[in-house]
Order: sequence, then C-alpha cells, then structure tokens
Amino acid sequence: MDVFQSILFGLQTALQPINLFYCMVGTFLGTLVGVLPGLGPAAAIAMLLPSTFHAPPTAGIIMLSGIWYGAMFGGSRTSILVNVPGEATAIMTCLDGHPMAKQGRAGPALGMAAFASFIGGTVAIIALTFTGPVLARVALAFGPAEYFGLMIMGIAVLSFLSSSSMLRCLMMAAVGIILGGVGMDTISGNYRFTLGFTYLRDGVPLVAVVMGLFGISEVIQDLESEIRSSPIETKIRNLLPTLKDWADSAWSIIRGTVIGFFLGVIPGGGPIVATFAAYAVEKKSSKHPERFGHGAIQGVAAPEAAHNAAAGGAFIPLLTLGIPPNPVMAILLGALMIHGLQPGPLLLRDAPEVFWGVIMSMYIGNIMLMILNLPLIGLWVKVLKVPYFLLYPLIIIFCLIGAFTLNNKVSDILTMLIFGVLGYLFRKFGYDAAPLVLALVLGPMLEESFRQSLITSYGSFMIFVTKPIALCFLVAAGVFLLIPLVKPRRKGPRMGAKVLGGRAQESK
Amino acid sequence: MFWLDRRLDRTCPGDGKVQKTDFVSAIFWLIFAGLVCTLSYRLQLGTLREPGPGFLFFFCGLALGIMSLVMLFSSLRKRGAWTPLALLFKGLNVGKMIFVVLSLFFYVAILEALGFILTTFLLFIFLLKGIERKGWRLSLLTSAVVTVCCYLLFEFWLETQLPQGLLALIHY
Repeated sequence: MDVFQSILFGLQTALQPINLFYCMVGTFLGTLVGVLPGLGPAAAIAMLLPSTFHAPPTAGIIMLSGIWYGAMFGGSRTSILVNVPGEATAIMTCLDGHPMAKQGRAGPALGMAAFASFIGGTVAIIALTFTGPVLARVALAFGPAEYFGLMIMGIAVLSFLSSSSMLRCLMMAAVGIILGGVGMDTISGNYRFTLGFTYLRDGVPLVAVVMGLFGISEVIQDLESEIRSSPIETKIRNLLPTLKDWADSAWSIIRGTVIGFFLGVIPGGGPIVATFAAYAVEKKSSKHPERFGHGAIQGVAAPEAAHNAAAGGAFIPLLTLGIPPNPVMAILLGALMIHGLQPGPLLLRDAPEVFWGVIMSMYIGNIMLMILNLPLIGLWVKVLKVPYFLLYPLIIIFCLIGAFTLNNKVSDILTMLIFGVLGYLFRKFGYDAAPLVLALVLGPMLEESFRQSLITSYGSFMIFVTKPIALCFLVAAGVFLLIPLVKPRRKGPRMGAKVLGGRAQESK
Repeated sequence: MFWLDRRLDRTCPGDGKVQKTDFVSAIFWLIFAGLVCTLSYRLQLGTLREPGPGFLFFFCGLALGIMSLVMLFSSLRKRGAWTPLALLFKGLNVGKMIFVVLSLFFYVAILEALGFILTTFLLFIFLLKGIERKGWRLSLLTSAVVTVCCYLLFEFWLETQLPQGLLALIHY
C-alpha cells in the first residue's frame, strides 16, 4: 500500500463515528487536563487507560493520544490568564503570554497560542505520515545491539536534558532499570526481586507507578501551601491575532516547529525541553531580545509551536520502533500492549488500521482542538475558577479508581500510594521521576536486547562496536554523558523542575 | 571523584540544604544498591556468553552504589554548610499532607470490606469537612453527588467492577 492509499485508509478509519467520538472525548479531556493545574497528561492517561478496555483498540488509542496532544493546547490557557502553567510544557508561555494579557491583549495571546499549536502539531503529523513508514522499514534492520544502543541513548539524552542533576538522573535511571526487572525473567523463567510477594510476580505495574509518581505526588505537593491565583478579570476579545502579529510570529512558528519536532522524536527529548529550546533560540535570534518577558508575541508562538510539534514527533519512535521517547509515550506503549498490539516496525504490517487510524485522527483532533480552544475559551475560564479544595479530592478519587480498575486489585492502589509518597520525596530531595519511569519501561527491553546481543556475539562486547548503528547511538549517548564533565552548565533558572505529568510551579 | 560530582551536579552546588538531602538520600541509595547487588548475585550472574538473570541488575546496582558514594562523599565535604533537613518542610502544611496520605492508606484498608460507595463517601467527607473545614451541608452534598456520579460512571458506563463490600451482603 503506498502512502496516499494508506492515508485514505487511515482517514476511513479515523472518520468512523466511534473513532470520531473517542477523538472528541480525548481532545476535550486533554484540554481539561491541560487547563487544570494539578493533573498532567501522564497521570490522566494512566487514570483513563482502564476506561478504554471496553473500547476497540483503535478508538482507545485515539482517545489516549487525544489527551496527550490536547493537554499541550490546554496548558497555555492558564499560563496566559493566570500566570500558572497548566502543564510543564506551558511554562515558557507564561513569560510573555501573561504580560500580553496584562496589557489587554489576552485575546491575541490565546489566539496565537492556539494557532501556533495547531500549525506545529499539523506539520509534525505530516512529517509523521511520511517518515513513519520509512523509519518502520529501516527499523526492521535493527537488531538487539541497535535497540540496546538506542535505549541507552534515550536514557542519556533524558538525563542530560533534565533539570535535575545528571548524577541524580542516572541514579533514577538505574533504579528504574532495577524496578523493571522485578517479576519473571522471560529468558530463564526465574522470578526476580519479588521478596516473597506473589503480587510482584507480574512485575511492578507501570500505570500505578505513573499515577503515583505524577498524580498523587503532585496532589501532595499542592497541599503544601494554599494555592491562590485567579484569572485576569478582563473581557477576552479579538482572538484572531493581527496581521502584524502574524508577520512577527511566522518565523518563530517555523523555527519552533522544527526544533520541537526533532526534540520530540529523540528518545529522552520531549515537549518540555522543546519549549525551552525554542524560546531560547527565538530570544537569541530576535532583533529585540529585550522585549522577551514583557509581552513579545514570538515568546508565545515559538514554544507553543514547539511543544505540539514535539507531541506529534514523539509518536514516531513509539509507533515505528516501539521505543517510547518519554514517560507519557511509555504509558501509551503500555496501552497498546494491553490492547494486544505490539508497537514497533511490525505494527504497520500487522495493524495498519491502528497505525494509520491514529495518525489520521491526529489531523482531526487538531481541528477539534482549535474549535475547543478558541470559541469555547469562556468555558475554560470558568473551569479555572473551580476551587482547588474541590479539585484535588476528585483527582484523588479518579486516581484511586483508575488504579483499582487496572487489575481489580487493591494492591495496585497501594502501589500507587507508595509511589505517590516516594514521588513527593523525590521532588523534595531534588530527583526527577521521568528517568525512572522511562527506564522502568525500557528496562526489560534493554535487558533482553543486551543479553541477546551478548549471546549472539558469544560474549563479546565488540558487537556494539561492529554494528555501525549501535555504535552511533552509543557514541551519542557517551557524548551526552560527557558534556557536563567537560563543560559544566551555568547556574540559571531551573528548566521545568516538574516532569511531564505535573505542574511546574518551581520553574522561574 | 569530587570534580566528577561537581561537574555532574548542575543544579545547586554549594547549597547547604541540598548537601544534607544528598547525604540522606545517598545513604538510602547505597543500602538499596547493596541489596540489589546481593539479590542479583544470588540470581546467578552467568557468563558473558550466557548472561544470567542477575547480570545486568548486579552492574546496575554496582553503578548505583558508586554514584551514591560519589554523592555521599561530596555531601560530607560540604558538611559545614548543612542546614537541618526539617527546613525542607518549614512553613508547609505538613499536618494536612500527612492526614490526607494516611486517609488514603486507610481507604485502601477498608475498601473491600465496606465497598466503594461507602468508603468513597467517607473519604470525601473527611477531605472536605475534616481537612478543608468546609460546612456540613457542602461536604455531605458534594460527597454524595461525587460518589454517586463516580459509581454510575465507572460501574455502569465503563463496566468496571468496583468492590461491593457491604452492598454485596445486602444483595445476598
């Protein structure tokens, strides 16, 4: 099937009423999650994953994907109106979006954020449409050594780009790999690290861990102090940016899209990093850098385009290689496997309706998000006024039910709560949970690839040198790990202290 | 080894608060690493030609242990600038956090016995009335509405099987 036939096939799948319905639900929930501080896409997808068990696989994945890129759209609403980023990806939008709102330009800020997100997301999906199948074919040539190299690079990149210290990130990654080994060893059939608990024989449940680390821990942290912020009391008019706004932002959107897309594709990268990189590049390349931080529309357009492009780009390694580039994609990987699908190069062959259906639904989802985010802005402003004392018990209940419905086990709730407390302590002690989650997912695949590589090479590590693709990945990983040793980072504002799933209050 | 830690620790070198947390967490991870290495060794490391089930994890544990030692010695070097660990929680609603967390663990303990509806209703009452100090009317009404809506959503629409608890006895 050539690409255009595949696109038509995907459209046919995406336009089925049930898939359209789930796309709408996903994008709506995603926007809601993005608007509401305290709940991020990782925890939301984890919580709602059980609700997709009764849906057809394609519809379920479409809904969960909608939550992911919908949250990107929604997060900027609170950034602009309240100066509190709804998502970590909307931190940079605060810097110029809120000043624009204070200057009476909330409408153009919101409008430009929506349009830039739409353009960035759409371009990324087009790139996904055409590069996805190509990469899937290339990935068929990947062996265990190549996969091992890629996963090591992903962990190295994430550790490099994280706001937490690299030492702590690597420690979290090691812990994640270890936790990933809990349960049965698929090669020898032995149980590992179960400490006598029957519950652990199936391994540590990823979804419960994610809900705990990103959902419950976020709620605990929010309870530290009273949150008092209210939206700017202003009439929001003229959501359409002016021609001058478009002229000023055009190159910003293009640059943001390109930066976001590539950072979304790289394992370990992601939307948060993409927004910071896009903003930094924009400011550096601007003729008037002094305007940034005081209401420069480019400061809204670039990061918004970047994070949606990154969100779309992140699907490429997930769908074509079966490697989740960030923790949210790791949960989607889990969702695909729960639905009996194996993401990777064979997904395109074995389940083309899922592959193309999800991609085509993203075009439709982007259009739905434009509708949700522009005409319905008044609704989101009302949502922002929901008091937190009502919100966090609801988040807790959804997490509790979500954890229980995974396997109908109370022990999954307990796991979630334990990791919730641990996640809170990680935050207080300066550890980023993202490397742990990524390593937890990649760990079993990493171990399997590593052992298979050594078995294939009769115990020789030269296999990682003689395979050129594996060597490239490992060299890249080495570069990322060595850069801080050669060139320590300057002290500066923390780059999005919270991970993908949470709100980044600490980032200044 | 210490220049390694200085280079790798990009966030706040020289901050006394961080050094004390580094010391405490380093000790924790060191113990954890030791446990992992011990358990991995018992699982059999195998050989390079045929790595055993404990192979990768032994070396992960070893790496974690080495990193913990780096962090430990680095924090000990800056011992003079330590501030009490309690400062991490100074000025925060620690009591509120603890009570909410404990209530969630208690929720888990009684969920299967009392069932979803009663347990969730009680949890909500506790959070709204006990923790947030809202009025009885708001607490009872909100708790009832949320519990019923969640039950209808998850039990009937999404067809999940929530614990029945006492309701099962009544049906019986």
